[in-house]
Amino acid sequence: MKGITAVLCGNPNVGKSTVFNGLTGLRQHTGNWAGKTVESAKGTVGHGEGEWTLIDLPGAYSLISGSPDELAASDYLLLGDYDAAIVVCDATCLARSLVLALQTARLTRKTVVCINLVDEAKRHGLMIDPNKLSAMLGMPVVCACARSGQGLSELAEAAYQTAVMQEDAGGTCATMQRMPAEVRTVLEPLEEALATVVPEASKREILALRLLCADRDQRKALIAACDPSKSVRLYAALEASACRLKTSGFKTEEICEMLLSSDHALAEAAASVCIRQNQTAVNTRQLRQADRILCSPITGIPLMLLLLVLLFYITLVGANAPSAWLSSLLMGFEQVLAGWLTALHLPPWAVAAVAHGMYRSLAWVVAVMLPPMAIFFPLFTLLEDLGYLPRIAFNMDRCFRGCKACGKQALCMCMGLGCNAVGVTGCRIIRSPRERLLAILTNALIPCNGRLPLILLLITLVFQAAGYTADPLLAAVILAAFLMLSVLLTLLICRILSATALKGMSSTFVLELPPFRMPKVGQVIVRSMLDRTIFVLMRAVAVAAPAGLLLWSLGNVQICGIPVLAHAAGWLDPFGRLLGMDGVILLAFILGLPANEIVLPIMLMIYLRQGSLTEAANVQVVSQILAKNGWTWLTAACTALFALFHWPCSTTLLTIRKETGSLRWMALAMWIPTAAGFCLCATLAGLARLLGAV
Amino acid sequence: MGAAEVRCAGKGCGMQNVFPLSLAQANQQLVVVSVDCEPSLRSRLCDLGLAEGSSVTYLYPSAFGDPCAYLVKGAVLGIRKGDAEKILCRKEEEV
Repeated sequence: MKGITAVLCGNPNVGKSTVFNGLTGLRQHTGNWAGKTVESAKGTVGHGEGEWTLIDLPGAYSLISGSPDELAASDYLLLGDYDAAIVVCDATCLARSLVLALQTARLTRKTVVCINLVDEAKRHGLMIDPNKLSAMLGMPVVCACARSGQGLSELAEAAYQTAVMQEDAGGTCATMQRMPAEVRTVLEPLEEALATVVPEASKREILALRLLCADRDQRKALIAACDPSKSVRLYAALEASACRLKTSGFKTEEICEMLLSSDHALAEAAASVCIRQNQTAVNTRQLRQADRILCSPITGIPLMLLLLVLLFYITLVGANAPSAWLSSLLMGFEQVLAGWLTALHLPPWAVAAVAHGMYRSLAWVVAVMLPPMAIFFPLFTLLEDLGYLPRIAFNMDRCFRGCKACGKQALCMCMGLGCNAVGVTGCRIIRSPRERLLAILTNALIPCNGRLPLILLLITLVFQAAGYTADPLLAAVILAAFLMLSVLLTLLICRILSATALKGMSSTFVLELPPFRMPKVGQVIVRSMLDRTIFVLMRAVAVAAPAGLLLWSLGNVQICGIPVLAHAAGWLDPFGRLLGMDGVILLAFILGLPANEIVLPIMLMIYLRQGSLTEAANVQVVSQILAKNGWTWLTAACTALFALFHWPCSTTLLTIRKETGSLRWMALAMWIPTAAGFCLCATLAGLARLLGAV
Repeated sequence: MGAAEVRCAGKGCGMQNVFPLSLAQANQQLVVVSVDCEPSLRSRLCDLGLAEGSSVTYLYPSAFGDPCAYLVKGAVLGIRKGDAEKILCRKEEEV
């Protein structure tokens, strides 16, 4: 049996990824906002004895227009190889989400409609009759509630049956519409040229229209995706079609709109036939009341800041105990490991390299960095699942518009709080290329999960160096203030870039505010904690372990009796001093390029000059070591600032290179936060010294 | 006076009743008469179900007063004031 492939598509935020996870048992990340999934995911669905492949596409409203992530879904439906398309619809706004089902049905008869969120619709008093809808659309319709798994086995069965169905079986499909004759004449030359690329006439029509509507870059990408060897022929056909378009007096937008409005009318009619409203929607009113408070001019912004402080406070307080426990556990194992290695008759230097170099860096990173991450990340995921993030973007759009950027950038920044590389990829939800580039270039200004614990620790150190005990609440407030500084700087840099390298006006902004949904608390905590833990552990093994080995060697290989590391640190020292830090700190940041998690361990290692990390993963001991090496409150403060604003980690840089397709933009993305960090640190250090505060 | 009247007649409504969406009052159900903005936004709004003839309700503003939230086909959309100015509507006729 040939392997069967089905694709999942649908409007953004209708729960495609939840359906995908339900069908495949995979753990694709989900969130309650439009644009969460920007990359396709693949999984297998067990069916009877065999299994078939399922592909989760990014959400799209229409197959003809949209942002890059939306067009990616359209590209796959037009040019990809699949046996069935499952269109996921939102039961609470069926008329709108059915439009994509109708458009997909223009491409392939093998379309299955899945109406998700029927439980939510029921609470709003909406009852949907799938049989009536199926009869009207001429395609299988399955009602489901993906969160509870209800209806998913029926969906799998329907998709399988549709996939194995013969293309010409079952008479004509009521919804298999063709375009009006005038439009077909315009598209004819293009369609002919595409005949060798796409065998199905129905797909050719839409593909021809997409080519005609696209701008130059999009055309290039589409033609490359079709068949690069036929590009000359396709461009010639494009010319011919454009000529016919001119004589026909149509505009491309008019053609698209014609198609859309007929799909909308049909969707509206279909929805009105199959929906029964049996009571007034009290629930939606109540939920909108919450929005009135969260978005109100008086309470909106203060509530957002309060939430942020609370988030940091819980992280700070909650991380202490597990951190100490992990540290004693992991450090205790080091001697055991050394014992094992000695028993294997390894030479002493190799034992030292592995146990004191590799293992110790790894244990350090895990003990200090993991607990705050494992607390912060699930909490943030809860907010995301609840649907709060689009409200932040909604509230902040005014500020971004003032800087000629897009409010959706706030969503990318929220993602950057987890991981800057994810944030950069997430920028695909922004439609205007100029605004997307602004968001990509400034994303690293937001501290990622790898830097937050470091900044937290440094804030505590500032207090201790100044002779105060650090109150966790105050530390949380300061951390929130740091984040606000990041946001302000992001806005400022967007404004500067809009006037220089990326000149242009703010384009349009339309954002969907999804209904609040109760997150599945247990599942979120377990999943994101496990995912995060595994991710950090893997990264620690992949980066910190070899880095630990390298550092151990650098620390022990000596030139003129001084370790290589000390040479480098001495060389960087004058510049470090200028920035309120010292050479060691600067060197640690440079060596920490692969992962920000290892910056502090490197610093301590160089200070101790013993060629390996200290055993102490404890704030008191750390602050004593640092104080001995001349750290003042100013050093800690400048280091915290520099941890907030410096070059992005190598993963983020590579992601920026991939997303922008240019080394120059990557270099700019590296210089922007670095320059900001240099300026701020030098200013703070200069002021403090001038005022004699140190 | 001719042009204005003709345009009104074309839309089948009195001119004084047509106003931009940005001036809508809270919780008042409106019908979209025309969407006069750039093609990209027009198609975006159309995708989201906001086109000529569809009904729209103004809900609440955001923290800084702009953008504002509107109810369109069961979904809540945030739209900037500058864009809402280009969407003309009239009051839903009482039946």
